Amino acid sequence: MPIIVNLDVMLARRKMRSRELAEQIGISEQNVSLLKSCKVKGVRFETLDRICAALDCQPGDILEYRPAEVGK
Amino acid sequence: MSEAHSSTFGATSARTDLRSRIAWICQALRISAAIWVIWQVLLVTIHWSDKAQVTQNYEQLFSTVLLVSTARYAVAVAVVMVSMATVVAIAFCIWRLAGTYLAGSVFTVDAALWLHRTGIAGLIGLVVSVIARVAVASILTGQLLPISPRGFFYLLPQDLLHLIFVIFVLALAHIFKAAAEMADDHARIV
Repeated sequence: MPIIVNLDVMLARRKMRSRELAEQIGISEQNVSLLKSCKVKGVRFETLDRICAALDCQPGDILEYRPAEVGK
Repeated sequence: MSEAHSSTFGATSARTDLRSRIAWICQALRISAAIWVIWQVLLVTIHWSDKAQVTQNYEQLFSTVLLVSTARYAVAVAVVMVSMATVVAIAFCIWRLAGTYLAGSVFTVDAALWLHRTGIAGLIGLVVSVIARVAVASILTGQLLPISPRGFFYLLPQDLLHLIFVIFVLALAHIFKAAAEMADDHARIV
């Protein structure tokens, strides 16, 4: 899928652990892990709002659109 | 797949609430299924253990005198027991289905599968019971498809009602499978 989740990058920049983020945004650590590895079908605006608030960033810092290369 | 996701993402409060609301219904369903199967098997066993009475019933039904050998009677009892096996299978499927709901797996492919199995078992049970009626009458009278002066009893109005219920259960199983897949997709949204 061309949508890339850069949550691990933002976590590293903010020097925050997944567990800490999970506690702050009120979802399980497993779900944070699944989100980091792009194994989810979607992200609720509510979750995105909490992540942005916790990491002090914009949605664009977390989600990135990378179009699939032609011929692949 | 749905089981894995439900365990990964955890049950929502709505699902927990639904489980607590349907718990007594599931327990009632399980107890009813158990009582029904025991009752049915006991009644049939008691009825068919009295050969003279059964023969007399069929004599009245076909207005004829029947001379039923022990071997033929044993074959008729075997046919009835096959019919009883389907009753046990239906009760087992209902038990497992209610158990799946009790375990909290309501909108799962597993629950939909047990609902489908219940419908299929019901359909087989219905077909077998109709065939058993014809077979037992044929075995006891020694004629192929004997006609009773009291009317046609091989196919009864309640058979059609049972068929409607069975088709309804099968349709519900398909609906629940689609719902389970949707719930599975929904569970993958964080």
